[in-house]
Amino acid sequence: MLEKDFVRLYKDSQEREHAPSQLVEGACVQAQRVDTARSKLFSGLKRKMHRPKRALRVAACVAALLVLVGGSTTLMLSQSPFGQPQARAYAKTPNLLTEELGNGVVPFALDGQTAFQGWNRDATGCYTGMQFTLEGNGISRVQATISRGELYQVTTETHDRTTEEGNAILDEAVSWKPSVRGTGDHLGAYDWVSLSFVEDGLDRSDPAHQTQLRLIKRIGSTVDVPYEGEALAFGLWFGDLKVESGLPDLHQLDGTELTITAVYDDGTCRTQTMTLHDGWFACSPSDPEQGSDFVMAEGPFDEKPKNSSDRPPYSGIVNTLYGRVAAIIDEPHPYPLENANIQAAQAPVPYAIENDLPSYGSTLSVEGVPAEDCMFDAGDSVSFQEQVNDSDGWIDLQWSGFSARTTEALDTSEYIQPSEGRDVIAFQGNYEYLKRVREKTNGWSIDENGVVNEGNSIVVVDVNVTNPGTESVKIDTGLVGAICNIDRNANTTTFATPGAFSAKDNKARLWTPGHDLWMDPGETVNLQVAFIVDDTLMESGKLYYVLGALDGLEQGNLTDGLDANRYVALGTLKKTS
Amino acid sequence: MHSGHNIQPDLENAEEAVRRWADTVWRLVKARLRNDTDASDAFQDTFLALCRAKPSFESLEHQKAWLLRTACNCCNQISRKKAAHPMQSLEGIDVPAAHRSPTGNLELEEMLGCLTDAQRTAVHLFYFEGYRTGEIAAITGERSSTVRSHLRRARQALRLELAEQNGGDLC
Repeated sequence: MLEKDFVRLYKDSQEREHAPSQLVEGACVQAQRVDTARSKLFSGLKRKMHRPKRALRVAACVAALLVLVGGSTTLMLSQSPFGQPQARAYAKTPNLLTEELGNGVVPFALDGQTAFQGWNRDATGCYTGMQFTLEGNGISRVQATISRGELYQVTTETHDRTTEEGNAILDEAVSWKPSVRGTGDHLGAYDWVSLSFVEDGLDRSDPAHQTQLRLIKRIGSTVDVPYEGEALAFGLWFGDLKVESGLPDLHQLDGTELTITAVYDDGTCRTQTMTLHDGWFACSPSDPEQGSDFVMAEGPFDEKPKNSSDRPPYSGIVNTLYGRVAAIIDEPHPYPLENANIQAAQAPVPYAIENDLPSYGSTLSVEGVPAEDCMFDAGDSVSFQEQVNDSDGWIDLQWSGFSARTTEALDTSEYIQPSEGRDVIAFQGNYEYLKRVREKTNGWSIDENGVVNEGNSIVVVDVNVTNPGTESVKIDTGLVGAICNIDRNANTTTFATPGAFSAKDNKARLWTPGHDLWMDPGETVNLQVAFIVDDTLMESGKLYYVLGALDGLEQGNLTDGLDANRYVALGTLKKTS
Repeated sequence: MHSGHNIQPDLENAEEAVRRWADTVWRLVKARLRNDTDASDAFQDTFLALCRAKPSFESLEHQKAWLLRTACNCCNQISRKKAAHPMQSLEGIDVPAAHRSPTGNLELEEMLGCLTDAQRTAVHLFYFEGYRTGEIAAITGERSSTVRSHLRRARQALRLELAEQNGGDLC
């Protein structure tokens, strides 16, 4: 295909691609909140860690609504059930469990941090972010049952980086904390962890800058938990939602029943049942004295209002579930409690994420062999790896003087680069877990002493690289290649999938793939590049050093043709015993 | 969106930015991630970042580039969570397309499916958005040489032939 034809086809296809309107509207609503807050109500996305100091004057259980702007197209507003300024419509009648808009409707607000997380990421379903909070005085236990899906509990913690523990927890949360319970050293008790930065006026680089973690744990379709004076927040989880345009269709949840019971200290009970429906709500800015940004002002509408501007003074629209109160009785919880909290009772499996990791193996065999003009001997000089400098010129580096050796261990001070800042080299210091991930995905690991695991060898390729140009060039160290074996009889080329582990040069500059190295005009550096090679590949015959980017190698799917690279014969190498 | 020579766009207005660049961001994240679910996440994360960071922009192009850079980072985070490979830089994990999202053209779909995430990103920003390799590098956080490598390899994978020689410079 001619390039110009491809460009025409591609442009035509992109012109037909538009962002789903639901996503756009959701983002607009969030943006409106920001714009309005900036100009009128707040100086930014403020998040208070303490509830408004107005005392609850009701004696009974009151469910506070979380009135957040967002929709099913959320928006990741980082609004926590705790500490976010909230509108509170106090019950006119004490002892009501939930608050209403005044028409028997209880809209569920949306927590942007968790809304629809987990969907299709794993097999465990979708956290909708639709939440309700239960709190009150004189309550000893809270029980709740949902007729479809499950409830999850939301708690929060706030950490900063002024302590070693805080550092470790945040490193885990911001980097590699998987979503499955049991994974992670510090957050393994939770099924999902999300985070948001607290607007505390500190710079993000300030160690004292606070980060709030949203900790989610699935409880079950029935919840039975003690009430200890602090508000309890629960959300709705579903494992079988249909998705449209990347978001669950809330209409399929119509008719779901939510039953909540408050058990009081004196043994009495009050139970409220709601049926849940899909609806749209108009929002309007609230009085800042009431401590919220927006309130659900009108609704539900069966269909999405055309435009928020069509319904002034409302500034936003939200698609969420709402409940209609069906019954309130002074009776115990009507559903069996024997299986309450069943999900919470599931014991975490240490490092369960390993079962979900892909396993690409330590070698990758592809059909075909490189063309002869791609083959070189160790004594040859290879012109390869077009490099560019800032002027976008082309300079081919000269690679020469190839040799290789094997070793049992690498000098960790020379080859294993310590992590810098938040960059992942050793999984935030959790080297043991890093080793397990590497072994699972590509069948190798190196311990803290630089010793490779059994079944693998370390091959160090020694090569001189010259910049023949008149300008300095940056070397893309991601292009230093791999080790392979070429079997022309079998028409097969087999690569060691780990690729380049690390490298150093004669100026003691330590490399890791993906980092830059500048070479002056005319400069020659001696590189020593370390590779992890499966022993079966080591023993298969002659090995070759491959110059090339080898996209997809470590994922077991080499995307470039064999002839895109250059192959330098290293001969037969023996494993160091 | 503002128009007219006497109406200046409000570069501080987040809602305007959403409406102005929604398709631009969507097209990039969709090209990169190739499925609506992940693309929706990346889309939302991108505009959330805009609301949180509240950056000051000098021009519409500055705003656009910021959003595209943020979108790339969001895509990288999503890909990273999926791959969870330890050796990759936080700048991104380049994996072949695992999902296909219909473009309405089966031949084009087949071609794009052969590219890695980074190659598709470079192709999109170069051929559709019209950025030079240096500009693409600033957006993706890669080196210019890497971007050129992505484009070169993409053209090889797509088996594109030039109507006329251009000396190898893809810009």
